[in-house]
Amino acid sequence: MTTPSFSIPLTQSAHQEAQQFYQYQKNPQKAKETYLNCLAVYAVNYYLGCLAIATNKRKEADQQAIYQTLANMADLEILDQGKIECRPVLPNEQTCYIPAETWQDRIGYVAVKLNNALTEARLIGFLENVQTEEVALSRFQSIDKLWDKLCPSSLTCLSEWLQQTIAQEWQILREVINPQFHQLAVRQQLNETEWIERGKLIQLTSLPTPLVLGAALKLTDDSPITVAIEVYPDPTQDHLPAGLTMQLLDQSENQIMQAVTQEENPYLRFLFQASPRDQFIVEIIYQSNSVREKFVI
Amino acid sequence: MPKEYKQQISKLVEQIQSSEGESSQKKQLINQMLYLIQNYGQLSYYRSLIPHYLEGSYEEIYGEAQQRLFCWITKNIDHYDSNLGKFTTWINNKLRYIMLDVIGEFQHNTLNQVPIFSVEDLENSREVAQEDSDDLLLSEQVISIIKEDPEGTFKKTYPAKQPQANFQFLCLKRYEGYQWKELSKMLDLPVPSLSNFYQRRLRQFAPIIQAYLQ
Repeated sequence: MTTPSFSIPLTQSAHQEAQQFYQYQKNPQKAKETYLNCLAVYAVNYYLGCLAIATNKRKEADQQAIYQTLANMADLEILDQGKIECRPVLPNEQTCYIPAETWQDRIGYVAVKLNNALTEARLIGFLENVQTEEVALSRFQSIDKLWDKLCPSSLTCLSEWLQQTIAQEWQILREVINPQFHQLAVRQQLNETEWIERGKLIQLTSLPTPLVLGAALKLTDDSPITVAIEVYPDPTQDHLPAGLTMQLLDQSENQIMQAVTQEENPYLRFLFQASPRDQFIVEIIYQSNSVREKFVI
Repeated sequence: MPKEYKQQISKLVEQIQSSEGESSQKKQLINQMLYLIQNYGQLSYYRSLIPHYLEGSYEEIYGEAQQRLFCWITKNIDHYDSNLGKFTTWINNKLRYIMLDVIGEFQHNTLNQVPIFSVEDLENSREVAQEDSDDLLLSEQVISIIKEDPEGTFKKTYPAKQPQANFQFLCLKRYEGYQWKELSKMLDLPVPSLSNFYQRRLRQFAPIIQAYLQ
């Protein structure tokens, strides 16, 4: 069973901003739209704040009024991640209206159900992509999916791989990358077979297709252990986009290694030695977006 | 309240306390716990705390207190010790303090006092606080900047070889209430080409429009 969000009381603090921006709008339809959009953003902002997801301070009032006048947008910026669009849904509505001017540059869309008195809001669903303006509420996924999108992924313990305890998301590397790379891998060139190699799909919102993050451990090493961290394009592509950055950070987030793709690089790789209980973070950055993965040996 | 919900909440509290960091799963558990607390009668109402003259504001005060309580629970749940008392007692004790705080803020008028509109209010005719009728509302100022197009750039910016679909035209049509589908028919361009162009240009021009406002 999926749980909807708990309900969020829309008190005077919620209506304050809605009232302010409502007053800037001449056209009654625009004024109503602005009021409801403000409440939807307030509800999502409160909800995320309550669950310790940091959002960015809103735009200046003038700038916000420009967007409200010229577009139907209700975006909220999540710190270091990007924007989510918060769309109000009224009690009798079976669809959620997602205007085409919000189809780009969003991590996803949250449908926010309001009551007629506008005293209560409930987050009812999350959607990552849209292609039409009217989306049936039944098409939205559980709000739990929002957390999967926003939360840093859990720690991957590499020494557990040696006991074959490997989370499902880490698939056999050769099965998730373009076969042409099998030859390229240093490990194969050296004709070494004593590696565990796994890969998982990662998605950056600034890229149209996912990437594959690869991690490999040398089985023959005792301690320290040789680790390879790699990033590949998804199997349909034969090179990474130029300007993609991969960073290796230590536990205190100090940069240890960095690599940036030039034109048509097939993959990026870090090769290093690590000791038991060492922790590190791999960060993949493209344009304004980034994803992180934490590891412990 | 059925016993099963109480047990379910206690179990969730244990699971939350034992999950580390800020994982997606922990957030899901917290949401589930708050949902159960809210929907299965876990919270006291504390109506008697409200002074007589504030009775009309009970819903507002209680709503505000509940918002603060939920954030407090999320931040402090790791400090709850089941050996020292029931979870519901722990949160209701805190709710009592928060209620008293909020009542105090109401009494001293430190909380925002604005009207709360309903959907019906928004659909009825309205009065805009236009103190001086010579002053244009912010939205009117924005529209007049778009119409004036001081540097001619709004009209000169359009998707490849489609001067009719220029930024100024799209702004004004959207403001008049035209839907993207209608504009797409009118200009014979697919909705995403129009709306993506519009979104990008709006982001580019917003600071320029803002500069004219000042």
